[in-house]
Amino acid sequence: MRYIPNTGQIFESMLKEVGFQSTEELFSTQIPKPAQFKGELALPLGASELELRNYFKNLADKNFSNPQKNFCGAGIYFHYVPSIVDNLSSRSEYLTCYTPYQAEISQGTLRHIFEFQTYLSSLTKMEVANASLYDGSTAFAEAVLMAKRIYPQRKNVLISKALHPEYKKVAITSTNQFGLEFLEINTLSSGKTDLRALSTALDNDTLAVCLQSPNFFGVVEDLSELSKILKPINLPPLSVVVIAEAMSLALYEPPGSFDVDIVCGETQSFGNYPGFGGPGVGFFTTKEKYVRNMPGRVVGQTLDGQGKIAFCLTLATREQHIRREKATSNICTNQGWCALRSTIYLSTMGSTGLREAAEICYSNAHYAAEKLCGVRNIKLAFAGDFFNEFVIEISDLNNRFQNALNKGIVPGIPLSRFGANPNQLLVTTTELHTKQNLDDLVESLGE
Amino acid sequence: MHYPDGLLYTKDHEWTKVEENGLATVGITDHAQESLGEIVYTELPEIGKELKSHSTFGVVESIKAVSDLYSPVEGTVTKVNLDLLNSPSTINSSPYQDGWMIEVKLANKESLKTLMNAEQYKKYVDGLK
Amino acid sequence: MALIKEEGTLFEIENPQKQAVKLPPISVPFKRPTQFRESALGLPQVSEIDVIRHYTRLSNLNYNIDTGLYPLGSCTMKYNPKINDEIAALDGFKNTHPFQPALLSKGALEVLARLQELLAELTGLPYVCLQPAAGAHGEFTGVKVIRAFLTKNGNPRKKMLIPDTAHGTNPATSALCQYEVVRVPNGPNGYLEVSDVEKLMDENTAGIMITNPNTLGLFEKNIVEVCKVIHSKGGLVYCDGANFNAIMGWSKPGEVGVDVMHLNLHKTFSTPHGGGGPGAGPIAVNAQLEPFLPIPRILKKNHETVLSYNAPHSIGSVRLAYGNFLVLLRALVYTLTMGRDGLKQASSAAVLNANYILHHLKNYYYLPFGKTCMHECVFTDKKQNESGVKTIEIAKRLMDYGFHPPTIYFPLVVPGAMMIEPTETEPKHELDRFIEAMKSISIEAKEKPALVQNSPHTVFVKRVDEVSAAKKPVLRDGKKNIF
Repeated sequence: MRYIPNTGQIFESMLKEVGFQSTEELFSTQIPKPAQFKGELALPLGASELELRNYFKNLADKNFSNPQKNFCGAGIYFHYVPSIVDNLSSRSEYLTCYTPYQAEISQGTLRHIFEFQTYLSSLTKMEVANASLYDGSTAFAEAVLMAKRIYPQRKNVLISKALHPEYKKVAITSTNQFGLEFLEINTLSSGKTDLRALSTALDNDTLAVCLQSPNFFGVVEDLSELSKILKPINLPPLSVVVIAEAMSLALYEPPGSFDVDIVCGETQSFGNYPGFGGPGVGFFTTKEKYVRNMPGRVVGQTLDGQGKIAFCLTLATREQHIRREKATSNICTNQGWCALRSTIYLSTMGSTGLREAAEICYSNAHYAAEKLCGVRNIKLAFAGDFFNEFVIEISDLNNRFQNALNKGIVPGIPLSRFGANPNQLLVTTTELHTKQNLDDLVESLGE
Repeated sequence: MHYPDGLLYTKDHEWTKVEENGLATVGITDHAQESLGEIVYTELPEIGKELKSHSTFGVVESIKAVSDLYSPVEGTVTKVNLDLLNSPSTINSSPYQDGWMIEVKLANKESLKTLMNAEQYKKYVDGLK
Repeated sequence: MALIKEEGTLFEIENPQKQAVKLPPISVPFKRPTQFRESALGLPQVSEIDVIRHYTRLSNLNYNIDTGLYPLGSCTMKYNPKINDEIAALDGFKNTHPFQPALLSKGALEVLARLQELLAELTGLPYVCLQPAAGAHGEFTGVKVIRAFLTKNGNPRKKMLIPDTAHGTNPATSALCQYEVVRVPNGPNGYLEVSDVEKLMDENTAGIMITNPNTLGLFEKNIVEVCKVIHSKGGLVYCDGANFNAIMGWSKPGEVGVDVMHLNLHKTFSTPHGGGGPGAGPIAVNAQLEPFLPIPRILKKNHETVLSYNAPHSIGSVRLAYGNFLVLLRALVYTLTMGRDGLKQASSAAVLNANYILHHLKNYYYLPFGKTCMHECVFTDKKQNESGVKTIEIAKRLMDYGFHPPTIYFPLVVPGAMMIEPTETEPKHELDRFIEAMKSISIEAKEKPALVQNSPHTVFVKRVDEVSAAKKPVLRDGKKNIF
């Protein structure tokens, strides 16, 4: 039997040794009759590796999986994954190990988590980062929950209309038992959030204001303006900036430079494949003064008994396994292995490599946008600056989208998928795309 | 284990020392600091905070446990031992002297009636073991 | 084993001349960005071999399943099959985008639909949601579903019954969902007594969160009656599926009265722990709770698998897209590898292995409950306390014998607990090795306690100062200060 070494004779003799005549006896003495399942599971018999390889290859082949011809984004991105990321992360010492509760025999894991925290802290220019959370959407939900802990009496959350609709849905699902009110702030024609409207909507009952940058429409928000609005307020709401496309951190001044309270989001772009949406890597950073309010795990640097530098999980008393019902959240895990891939990725790309990749994304996106606007009946939906995603408006989007698919190209994501304008298409380009790929994209959306 | 006379004790292991002038000092007992292990962090209330008997006035944290701090008395916080924010382990080394946590202006003496004296508290702690 | 030396940081060996990647030259005209980041990125500048050496050396500091047994109770650290990883690396899965047209993702959707079917069959709860990214996330989703159901029926209620033996995530989840935790003690035999539950259950209690088998390694003998009591007052039963490895093919939670449960795919279904994630915590529910499941639903319509957003009573979404797909895929590969015969045999061997350990150690360590156990057994340090040796020290001493310690000081109802779960993938000779080590340690505890008390002796770092780490947390590398 697969993966069960104690079978046949070995199993039988062990059974006798512990005093049972049969497996049935082992179970029936512990499971009372009414709780016993007596039938046979309606599952096929166990399959061999060869059969499974065929079965799954068949399924894999039914999926369109050509990143060069795929221009989808919206929170999940196709980026270059250096070969050493797969190679190093596939080591069993990283893949099969347990959570590093026993520090003495988990220094490898603790070290790479510490590096992840360091990198995210630097990239966002925020004082503290945690060991990662499930994904960007749940990281955002955790940010709202943290703001609620800090301002337990308040109930309003101001959230930009340009914040990822699925992130917003997850945040609402995760917090509606607290009776929070999510008030949407509209966008301007530039595609940026109307910060003047945000300023007007602020009151003593606001616990957080939330923006995403670049936002869901790809447009870069004005974070310095946001901090100017919040600065003069006494006991201001927490400012939360969401980063869905982590690559953008390489090009734009980070939110930490604008006195933002929480920066959270997704680092799948760093070293992880889209994988049909998961697993991802949520990240969470905040100010030092809020460190004991921060959800999730953290790794701290310390010394061992011989004065050697060592690492351990710390501030664990806020977590569920000790605090139980008073815990800061119920989270029991980070996304250790995916965060490791991001860490190896960042170590490999280095500052220059990451910036170079970001610049290619930017140039590719602007080239594609310019060329697309040269096509009849296609125009840019928003005037604001964008990084690697932008929205175009096409009068007969359905037809043109279908044409592109017929040509073997997925030209982007129709915003109707997210309940928005049915004539709008969100197009994403990355450093994977060549000029040829981009020209093909433009051609595929031609009339 | 040391439980000084002259102090009053709660079931949650806080002590309080009542002065003549209607002020009371509050901290945690020797038993509490020993169970927690080395204290690494403490959160104390702001001056002016109103406390009811048994309401939480803060948190004390070691690496293996976190405990809420429950007020033995009813009143308003007048002083907070800010030294503990930098040296929380003072609570371990001197739970009744330098490890005092807050000073409270008593609103009334009602709650004191429910507290234990040193002998009763010692009996209570021995019973827990 | 490689010579383990101290490994510095990449910052210590960086140099602006070094580069570990080469990107293709830009193929379109370079467009100068209108804004520019002035703050340093703070990433190291090293060569590829530097990265390879660094992470290879660090990996040598990690214990892992491929090295040896993890006797961690309630974690089900079973072997992670390599075919699962091979399939998860197929281009057709890893390079598929969740928001590309569904017609272009038929294979991926089929994976999800098939896994749902199999998990429904195993649990006896027909409706499955694969979105939750971890067990605790699944609990949260499940309790939200309960709350939505009760709200629709007029009253969300205020309390939740939680046994003292529950995992810490259970009360944390309840509190997060605005339920006040009411603790239920376990009976004298280690499992819940119906009368204790009856006393506490009322019309203002949403239900109970049980783990079955419980964290003492015992099947909840009164589970059918307990579920009836809860249902009689209009409440619901949540089952924490962390210990599902003990009962596959032997008992179906849906049949004993459970209304909703979560599964831990990184436990029972062999997906790798990865040093702390990613996992997956899908939930399975019965018909009355189906309308409240998160969207999108993955449904079979005319032999096609479709995404459905049409669920007016759904609680919403708990995660972007459909869940941790590449983890779910691994679990599907595993389930099909094992099949109906393999899964039942896995539970049988898991329970036998745990009893084998119990049988051989019961004269050396104090056994607080029962003479038999399910897939895990719980001992305490009571005997060793006589010579001043504690559980934490026994755990650390095990490292000197080359083992990862068991779960310690949990469940909370057993002082000095050591919870041991070998799983079915451990061969007899490994169990014997572990048993011998535990026997030796108990003898050491009697004859030379100081040896045990001062362990571990042979590991790379010893006595990590967790107190200082908590007092003044240092959470990022100070060498590269970009502030």
